[in-house]
Amino acid sequence: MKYAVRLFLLAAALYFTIVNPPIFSIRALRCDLMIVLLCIYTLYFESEFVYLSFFAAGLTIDASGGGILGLHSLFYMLTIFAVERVKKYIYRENVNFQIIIILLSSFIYRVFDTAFYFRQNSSAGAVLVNIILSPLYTAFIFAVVRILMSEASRMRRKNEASKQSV
Amino acid sequence: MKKNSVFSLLLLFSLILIVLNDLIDMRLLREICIYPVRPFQNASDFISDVLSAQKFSSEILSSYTENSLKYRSNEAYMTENAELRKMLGLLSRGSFEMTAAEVSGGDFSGYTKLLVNKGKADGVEIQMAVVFLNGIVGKITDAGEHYSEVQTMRDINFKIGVTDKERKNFLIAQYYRSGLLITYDMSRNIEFHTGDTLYSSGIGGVFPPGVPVGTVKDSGNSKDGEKYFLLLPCENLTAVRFVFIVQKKPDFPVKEYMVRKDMKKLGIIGWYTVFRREK
Repeated sequence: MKYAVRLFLLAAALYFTIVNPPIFSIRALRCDLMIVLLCIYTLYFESEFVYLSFFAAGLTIDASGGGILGLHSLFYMLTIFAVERVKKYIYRENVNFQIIIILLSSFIYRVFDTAFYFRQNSSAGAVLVNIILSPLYTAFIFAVVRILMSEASRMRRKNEASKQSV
Repeated sequence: MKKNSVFSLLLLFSLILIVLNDLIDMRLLREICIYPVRPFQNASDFISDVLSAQKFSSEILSSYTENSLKYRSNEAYMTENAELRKMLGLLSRGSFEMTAAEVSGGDFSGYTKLLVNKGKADGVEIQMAVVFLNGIVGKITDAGEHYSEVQTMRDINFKIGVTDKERKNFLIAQYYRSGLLITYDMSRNIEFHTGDTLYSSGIGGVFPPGVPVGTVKDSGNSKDGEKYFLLLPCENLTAVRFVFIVQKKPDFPVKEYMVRKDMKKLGIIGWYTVFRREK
């Protein structure tokens, strides 16, 4: 069951990423949902599952986008490996650490995306939006979702406690 | 240990895939990878298509409403114009029958020739004028059953009779260079200013009269002392995708513009009909 939920979330993020235009994106401003999910999965779940699922997801992204097959998989593998190494030295429940990891991963992903997929005639402004603003936007979306989720769980706990007291 | 081996294996596999991308045909693997998400992708494409079609239809509707209003007001103007022309004894120049045709080929480097998708089967004949919204495009030089060849204003052999708005001065414009036409003023007493538009005279029997040909770009004197005017064609040939072929009427345009009571037809020399004034 737990794998089904994780895979469902991954499939949803994958779908949001490969449709054109990507969902949650505002014109050139992209929200890297796959990177968000990758960081969270790596921080919380067992590595084998994360490696295998994101390898398959990377292949799907490359196949649907018509890019070099295996490039996204390679990037995801390296990112998972890096986050794996970092998570030993941080307190993973802290939302600030999560935001920083997502911000950095998204920044590296955007640099990689610019290097491989950006057209040569793109303006400097478009490159800056892709490299600087997109990671910030991704981190912002994650922060908003994280705050909403923690608020919802706090409310749920409060309700349960009030029910028990009654 | 296990996770490190999984990582190494998948990393190696990714690298192999990247290296083999250009060496072997990956279409099958791509199809397999994309297969699970294709239905969702198709669904999303369908939704975006429907949304864009709805937006497009609303735009079309508003454009249609606007155009029908314009059409009605134009109809009123046309009626008024026809009455005024009748009062002034002028002839309508908008009464030519035209066949719309699409440019299907030609010489797209120099734009000297264009091929259009209408031919003899549609009533197109050689020496019919070809015009578009801004003015003259050229004339038909060859007509097949379902295609025609248009000699444009950029052809070296192109010539057209031109006149000013008041139809006082009549000249012949011909190909000059780099998309320009040149017309020589033999009488040396014509004064055109830069920006003046010259229209087809209709005398040659090929082009309908009163259609814009070009605007005066420059003037000067040649080495022989002849005064010349350079014309910039009104129609931009590089942007023309559709044209109108002007269907000739019997006796066009002599009947409408040349025959006067004090003139007598003498005969035909080449393309020209010769008249003599009676008085």
